Amino acid sequence: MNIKDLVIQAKERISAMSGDEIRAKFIQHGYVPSALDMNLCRSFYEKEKYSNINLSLEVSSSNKSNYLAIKNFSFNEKNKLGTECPGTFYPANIACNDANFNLCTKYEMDLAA
Amino acid sequence: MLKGNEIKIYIGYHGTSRESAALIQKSNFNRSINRSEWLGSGVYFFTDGIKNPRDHAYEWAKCRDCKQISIISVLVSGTKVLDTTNQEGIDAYNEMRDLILEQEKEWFPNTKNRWEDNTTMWELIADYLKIEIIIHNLYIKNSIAKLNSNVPNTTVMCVKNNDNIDIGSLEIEFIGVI
Repeated sequence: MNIKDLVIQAKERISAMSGDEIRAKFIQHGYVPSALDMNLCRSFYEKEKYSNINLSLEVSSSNKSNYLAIKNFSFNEKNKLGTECPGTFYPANIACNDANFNLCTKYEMDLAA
Repeated sequence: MLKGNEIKIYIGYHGTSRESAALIQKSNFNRSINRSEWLGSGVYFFTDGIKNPRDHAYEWAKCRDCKQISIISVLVSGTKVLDTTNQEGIDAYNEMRDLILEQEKEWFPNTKNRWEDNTTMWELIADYLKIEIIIHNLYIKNSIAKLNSNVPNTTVMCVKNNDNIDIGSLEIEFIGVI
């Protein structure tokens, strides 16, 4: 099939997709949203990504008391990315920016909500 | 009006260890799913394009520290091919990339400059276009080409699904010891 036709078909499919479906598609392929945007994807994360998540939480020993560390988590098979990156998750009410990015791992989740 | 489903056929060359070649012969290729893959997940081959794909397959296996090298050839076919070695393919890629970046702005308004890797973009484009095969020119460092460069020196093919690989056509083209 001609690549131009595939682009036309793709555009038709995309225009029929909801915002949730588009966000889910991005995340499925490894896109890393900010903590605030993660809130928008919350239902997807809860239903799809973290449906089989196993967490234990504790407050970080860091003096930034509003950070929480997640230990001993595992993902279901759907989440091929999750197994690569244990570490500290970010409360969604703190924006991840250049200044504090080093405290932030690839995966963030609204633990406060 | 959509055109018919014209089947495109390619020869893929894969350099690996002798042991892995035997396993592939027995149970097909494993799809690569690492986040660092050049064109996203799939089975990777060198193919006709820039320089000789057999040489690239040999160099690849050599760089992987294989003591005994095998070069495998196999037929790959599909109807949905993104070939960025031609203008149409590059145009399609760019059109989709622009569209995806617009979507990012719309649906992830707070996330700025967070594209972790190029792989995610390839995966999204292949998914949206329902692509079976990607062909792309790349620069790969090897024992000859040690320079960092952005001028391609090889043509690679990423096959998204093993169904597009004719495992019955597999031939061991070369076996050698380093």
